[in-house]
Amino acid sequence: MEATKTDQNTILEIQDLKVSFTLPERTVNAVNGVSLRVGQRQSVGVVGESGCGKSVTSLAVLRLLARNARVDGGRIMFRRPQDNQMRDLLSYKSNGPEMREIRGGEIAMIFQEPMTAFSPVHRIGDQITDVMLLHGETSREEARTRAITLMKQVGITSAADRIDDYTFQFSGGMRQRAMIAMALACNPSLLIADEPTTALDVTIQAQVIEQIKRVQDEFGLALMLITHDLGVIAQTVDYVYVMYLGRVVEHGPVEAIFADPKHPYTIDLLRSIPRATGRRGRLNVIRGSVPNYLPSGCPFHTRCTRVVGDQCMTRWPAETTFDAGHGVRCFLYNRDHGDTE
Amino acid sequence: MSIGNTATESRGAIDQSASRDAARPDNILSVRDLKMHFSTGGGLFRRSTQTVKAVDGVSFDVERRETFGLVGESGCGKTTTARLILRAYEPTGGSIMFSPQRGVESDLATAPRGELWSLRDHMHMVFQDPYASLNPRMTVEQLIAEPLIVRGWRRSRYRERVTELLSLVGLDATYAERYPHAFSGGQRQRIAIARALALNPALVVADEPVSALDVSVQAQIINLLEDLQTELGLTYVFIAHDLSLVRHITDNVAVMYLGRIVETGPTEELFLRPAHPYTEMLLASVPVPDPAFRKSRTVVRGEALQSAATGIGCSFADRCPFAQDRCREIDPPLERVERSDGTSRLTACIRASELDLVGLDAGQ
Repeated sequence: MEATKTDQNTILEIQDLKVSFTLPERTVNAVNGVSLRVGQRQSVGVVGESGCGKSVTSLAVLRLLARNARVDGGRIMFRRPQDNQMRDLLSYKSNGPEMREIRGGEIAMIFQEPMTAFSPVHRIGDQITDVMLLHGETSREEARTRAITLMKQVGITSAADRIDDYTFQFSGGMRQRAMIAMALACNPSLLIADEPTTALDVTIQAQVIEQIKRVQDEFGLALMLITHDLGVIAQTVDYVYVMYLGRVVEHGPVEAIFADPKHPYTIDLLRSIPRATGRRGRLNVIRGSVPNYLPSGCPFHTRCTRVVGDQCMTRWPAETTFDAGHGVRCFLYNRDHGDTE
Repeated sequence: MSIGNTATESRGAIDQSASRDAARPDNILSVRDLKMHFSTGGGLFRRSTQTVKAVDGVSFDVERRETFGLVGESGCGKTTTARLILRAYEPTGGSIMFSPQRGVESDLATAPRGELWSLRDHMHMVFQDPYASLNPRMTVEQLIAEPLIVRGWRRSRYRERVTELLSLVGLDATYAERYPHAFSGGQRQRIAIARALALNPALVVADEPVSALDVSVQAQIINLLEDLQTELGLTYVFIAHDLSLVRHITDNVAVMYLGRIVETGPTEELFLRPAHPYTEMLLASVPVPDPAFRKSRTVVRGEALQSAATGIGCSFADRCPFAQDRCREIDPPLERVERSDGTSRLTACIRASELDLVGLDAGQ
């Protein structure tokens, strides 16, 4: 098993990940060389529109990709708590003993739709305790006590009574809280949340986000938050990766991304959202829509208003780094350097 | 709509003498005490046991050529209200006075079939999900022309209209022969808008028209809706849960909670200085897309549960940080409340005049 030395502070490092899907008529390259890093206790956001590959990236980490998906390259280095070494998750079998240990035990995931993520025919409490029984040597009674404690911690009132409820007896917000409780059951070191509040109402969203931030702090977790909602990103994470069509086009500290975006896509995206603080007026528009094919070169060139030249259509630009770890891939800042496709 | 100062105010009635116009305001829609109660819990051989009061005494006015927003969380009755306006449901009670042209007025709530048929020429709906609202087996031309065909237009006549509508919503006329699957979400919503405009309606009810779309495409559709309003003199009833969007597009807004309007007024005033504690909570939970204004702790408590609406007292009392015992005893009417800064607001809170609530721009 390969172990590499990286920054002691890193818990997850995705290097040049490539994932494609085989469809009957064609192959879709969903993720095209994504690199990202999550530090211990850090909260990292991955933001992008539908089809940008953000969910595929997170599912690749947990080795939960669909059967027709193929990892074409890259590494997913994760620091395993047992020996504090970085291991490549792609070197494990997706259904082997290591991944079974990691999934739920070391990396936990919160999904968008808590109604479908939970089983409707099992009691909520049993589903939470099952995770503990699967991963640890606790007794059923201990697990049950801990489940009640966790449910209380995530703000489920009268947890002792509600532990034997089924999911249909829970409201959407409560289900998402129960999901957080289940995610925490085995003391993971990394929490991946894929659109955790998208299906929820705005007041419930605020509560769930606050809950995620609180448990992250209390349990010392690293967080990878995947969302399309720039508001949620701004309110929650420290560091942001902006994805477009399977590529990270820009990444940096959250303040830098919002105050001083560099990539034309990030700039346009931020301008196109009606701000709660803004007044009436025309919204800035990104022309066209996300194409359903992968353009050559920089994938954004079909919609970009600041195309530099032919290189935008043929090559993927090298990264330009601004201060404080703010990196951008755009020929505007680096006219000549890029990879030939 | 601006703030009026009437002395006489009766429950459920919104003051008509508002100073928005020297004369009587030109309302395209006047909804009074609208109710929609659904029976649930019944089975084949069982009597229905419960009544869900999805809309329970809602009153508001929509002025001609304005955009009126209905906001609130799921289950608050905003979609039911929209459907009642189009009479997709038979209301349990109340009236919906609709005036397609100045001086002409009919009650949609009680209009007989024949009259309703002709009234529907003047109003149309745009739905949330353009993947569900467009029949995949119909071409764009068939989809857009359907309301025209239903009204007896011949192809020679409607073809031209379809071309006109396509260019109006920014689509190429050559798309008419294609099927919906060939289009992106944003383009599909443009088709849905073109269909809504086919009969040249005065009123368009848009229920979450952009929430199924990508962020970058939402802006295109919002701009299109605003352009069409200016060009065609449309009135919109705009339903959305995204408060930033509502603030951007609406002139007036009504905030709904468990089937009732808790507060209504000019959008900007209401967002800056809410009068109802629920509006404050709703505004406080908007994730502001700016990390410089990160919220420390939200003031949000509890959830909107239909079961919590006991019918006695304020239905928001159990979540309200300002609730007192009398809030659980008195049913708060929607009435104009004078506020400490000299303004007034239509709100359903018995403590509204004492409270000084925080709006959106607080600290920003």
